[in-house]
Amino acid sequence: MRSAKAESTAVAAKTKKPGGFSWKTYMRRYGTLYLLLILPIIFFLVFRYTPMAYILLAFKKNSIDPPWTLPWAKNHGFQWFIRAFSDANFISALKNTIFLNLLDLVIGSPMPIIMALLLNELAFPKYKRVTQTVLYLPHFLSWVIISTITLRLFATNDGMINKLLGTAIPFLGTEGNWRATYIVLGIWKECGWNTIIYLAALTAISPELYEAAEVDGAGRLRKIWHVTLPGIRSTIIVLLIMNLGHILGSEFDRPFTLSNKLVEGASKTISIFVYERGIQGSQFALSTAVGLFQSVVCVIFLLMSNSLAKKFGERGIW
Amino acid sequence: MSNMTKVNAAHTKHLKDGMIKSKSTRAGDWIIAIVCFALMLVCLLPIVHVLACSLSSADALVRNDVFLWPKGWNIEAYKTVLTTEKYVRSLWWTAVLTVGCTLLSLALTICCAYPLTYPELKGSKIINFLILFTMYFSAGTIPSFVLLNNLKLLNTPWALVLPNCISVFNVIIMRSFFFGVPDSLREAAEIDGAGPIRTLVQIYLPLSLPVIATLALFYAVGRWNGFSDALMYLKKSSSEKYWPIQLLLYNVIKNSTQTSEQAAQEGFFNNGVSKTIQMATVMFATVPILLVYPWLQRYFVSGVTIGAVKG
Repeated sequence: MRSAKAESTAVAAKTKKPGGFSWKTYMRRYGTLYLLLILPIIFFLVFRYTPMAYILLAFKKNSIDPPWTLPWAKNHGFQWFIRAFSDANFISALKNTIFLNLLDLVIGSPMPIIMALLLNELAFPKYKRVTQTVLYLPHFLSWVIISTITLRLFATNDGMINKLLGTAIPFLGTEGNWRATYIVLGIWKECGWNTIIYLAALTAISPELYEAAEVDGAGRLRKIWHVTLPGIRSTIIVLLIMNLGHILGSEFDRPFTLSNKLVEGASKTISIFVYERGIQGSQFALSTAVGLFQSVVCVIFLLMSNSLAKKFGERGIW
Repeated sequence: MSNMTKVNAAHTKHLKDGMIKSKSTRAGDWIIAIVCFALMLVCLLPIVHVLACSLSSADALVRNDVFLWPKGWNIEAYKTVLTTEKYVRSLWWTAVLTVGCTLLSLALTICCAYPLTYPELKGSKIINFLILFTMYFSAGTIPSFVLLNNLKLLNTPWALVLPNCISVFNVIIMRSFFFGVPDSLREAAEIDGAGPIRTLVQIYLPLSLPVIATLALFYAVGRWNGFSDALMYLKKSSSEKYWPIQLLLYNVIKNSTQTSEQAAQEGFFNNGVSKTIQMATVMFATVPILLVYPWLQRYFVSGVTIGAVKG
């Protein structure tokens, strides 16, 4: 709509020959817009697309020099991929990444929905606003801060939680407990924040539907089940797709700051593997190969889950 | 009750909420309110605990007596942090860095989003695609690291500024907001002879203050809380002076939990003292954000919603 209107006025204003197109007048009119775009485009070319050229590192001899100057790696360039998949540490990092993400998906992603339903049912508007503000708080804390607080609260012998309970549970000391703590802390940090999207979707549900349900004698729970949940179905599915697409993606800060020596078998994810091998250990080729594998699988998963959603009749994410 | 009165009742309920609710509904409301209160406590108590610890004496912390109220009130820990050169420098540097990065990021985000709202701009489709593509496929940690090394940016403060100065997500939010500005305003400005830049400065920016505040918050929180880029890009000990507060805190905690001798080397006499100082540092690293975000709540809620819908 805008394009047709703006274009017609623009064309009328700038061209002398009707129907003709002149670069000179076009640039006089829009040149400044290209000037605005120069710095952002340089940013994306240098810091987003040039690294994509550096992916070539994964197929070359290990070095920190620009990859196009280096000789190819063995096995037709696939030496590092073969090395990665025969490396027990990488396999364990892969398993940990998938396992932790699956736990997040299954336990973590329903939580904001439940919390949003709860907030939606909250009858006192001012109290509701205060609750929301407080629930958004943990989102603004960094994982370094959270892990510092966690160490104080969850330590086995002198942690506050154990002291209050009168127990000595090693919350961060065994692999199973560590995983549980990891998931709980993830929920603590992001659950409130993630309700924002659901709450926005909830406001779009027509109040008439609730009235109709009430007329039919539906109580609170039945209204939630038959009106509220169907009303936010597509939001739930879109967010589920995003999470599925990130099943092999891995955060760095969260496992890295929460990890300790006792639970390395559970806490070393791909991102930490890449950091330790690549940045600490200078194995650039190997860790680039691992990163490339991760990125490619992520894109494939995203495409698959998107088309899956479309099959279910949802609009997907693009 | 006839159906008619029920319908009326339902309507009145929306007008005067709570007036004609049944007893069970009202009980439900109170249960929900109490559950929400419990959730609030879960979010708040850890912070209150840290605050109490930071205001307690070192002995009380070693005895592990402190819960939600300080034992042996004192503000020594805060004094120590504010007189230890390392902490003051890091806090000051993080503040400067955050302000600088936020301003730069905002300017670049506006420069990037605004031209893309002109659909007749040639090449805007391809630019749009190239920008969105980076959201779904990234080269990964190591290629960026090697690039920064080849650009000689490693171990310089620029490594914290440049690689993440534009967030695609924020560009999308900005662009969606610009799209929401009525076309008639732009056309009126154009008829008055204003070029694109003047239209941006005089019409779009004043209307976009809420979204600009939101993005400023997102960028500022991202930089203030930023940890992994500093960890990876500022490895050399010579770049220690550029450590942001998060990295400094991480290293202090890591060292003090490994051995208390190392904590002593850091300049603190015993474990308890170093713990109160850690807690004071946590407060310093937390409070600036906690003071700001509640005021912007209305705005960032709508920002997140736009981003989620259009992204």
